[in-house]
Amino acid sequence: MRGSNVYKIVYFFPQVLSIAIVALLFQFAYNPNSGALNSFLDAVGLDSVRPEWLGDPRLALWCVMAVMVWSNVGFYVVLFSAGMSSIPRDFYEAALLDGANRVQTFFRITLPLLWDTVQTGWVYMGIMALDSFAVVQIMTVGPGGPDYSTEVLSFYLYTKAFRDGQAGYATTLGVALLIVTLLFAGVVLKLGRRERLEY
Amino acid sequence: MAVTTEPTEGSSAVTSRAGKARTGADRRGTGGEGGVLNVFSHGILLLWALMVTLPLLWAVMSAFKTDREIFTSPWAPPSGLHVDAWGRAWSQAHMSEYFLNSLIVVAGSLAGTMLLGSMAAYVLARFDFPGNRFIYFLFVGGMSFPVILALVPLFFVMKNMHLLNTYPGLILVYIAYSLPFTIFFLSGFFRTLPTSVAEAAMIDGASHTRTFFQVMLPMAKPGLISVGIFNFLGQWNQYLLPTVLNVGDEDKKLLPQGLVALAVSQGYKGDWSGLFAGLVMAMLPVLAAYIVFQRQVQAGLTAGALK
Repeated sequence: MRGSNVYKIVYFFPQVLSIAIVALLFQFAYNPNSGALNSFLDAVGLDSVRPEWLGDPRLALWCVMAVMVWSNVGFYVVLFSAGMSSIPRDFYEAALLDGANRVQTFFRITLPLLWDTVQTGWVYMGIMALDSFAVVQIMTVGPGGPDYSTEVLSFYLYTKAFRDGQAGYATTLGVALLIVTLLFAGVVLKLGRRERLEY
Repeated sequence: MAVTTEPTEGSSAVTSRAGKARTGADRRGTGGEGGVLNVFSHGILLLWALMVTLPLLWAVMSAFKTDREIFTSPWAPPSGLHVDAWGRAWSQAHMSEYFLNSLIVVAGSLAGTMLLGSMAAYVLARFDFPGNRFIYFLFVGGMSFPVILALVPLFFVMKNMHLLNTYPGLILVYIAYSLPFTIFFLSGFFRTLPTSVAEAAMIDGASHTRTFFQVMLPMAKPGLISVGIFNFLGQWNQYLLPTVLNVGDEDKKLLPQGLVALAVSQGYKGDWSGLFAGLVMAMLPVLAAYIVFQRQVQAGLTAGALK
């Protein structure tokens, strides 16, 4: 497709930036008084909404998630498109000649042939999501969010070890985190197991 | 994620369909529907591209504004090029020191990672000895090990060895952290290189050391460049490790740490333009390097996941 390389380069921008830069950038974008988001809402006439973003216990965790989605989409675009480019073109041509539409080709050809990559993607995403320490520590109020709303396990581990001096407890948390990660990876690989397709 | 990947795929199917239409194979006249969907998927692609670039552009724009402008009109372009914030961030706010510190640590750890990693990968890929596979999988196993797990024990190991808050300590940890992927990537690469060249060098009387440095390493250059860029980005952007292991003096902080410290201190002073200048200063060199080397960067960052 024309321009697809440009899109891939642009989508990948957040991946090469330090998570510290990304988190700081969004801390300002979320600023309720002069941040980019609320002044954008003002500009389009929604000035009655003006959420507190990171200051609102109900919204803070969603804000953290949005930042992580923002910075990680590019990785998966590149990962999946690398996997897709190894699918032979003939398959699509054959399917199109047989009258399949694009939704059908996506679900019947692309997805099954890409399944291994999708599974790896899930496992990667699980590890990444369990390790959202930097965003929470840099960006959220406190840090840890209002009313502990953004306190994730990795951040809890950090505060226990390096603020409260409970090294043993923190190590236990670390092992628990490892078990959760391994369980998650095991469940994904087990549930998602399908017949391996050679092509 | 599905939202953005599906259009990519859909549109590539569209192009092949459009190709068909041109050759006259598309008899049912679905060109109209394809066109609408094409616009739709292009729209979504463009929308996400804007979502990615707008915050970055916003930061660049804010770095050239005055503090008052940042507060009163965040989206308006700057009234003029106010570059004094850049000077403030560079000298007063320690940005120059943070850059230098990061440069020292990353130079040391990158050199160490590449040297040790390529040597270990070469031996593991080309020589057969008992325990070869065991050592290899020990290294590769390290790839699936999140750093946060080892954080507390690592802290105490460093403390007992008196390496806490020192650059050599940080360099050693960075090397250990980068070796698994480096060895995994490079041993795959060394395995694909032809054996005949190394044999010819041996017959001509080259020692193992000479064969490695003068014959094998130059042949492995593309792989070394890919993994080198990957390691550079990972080490330059590392936040968690220095946050825990380098908590000494203010002016010994590394760049990502320094930026966070800057955000706190400039926040008190109300010097937002200085802070944005610092952010952009840290952002632009990496983005520029990425655009130049984007093929290698993407290959390196996704190679681990595709295997």
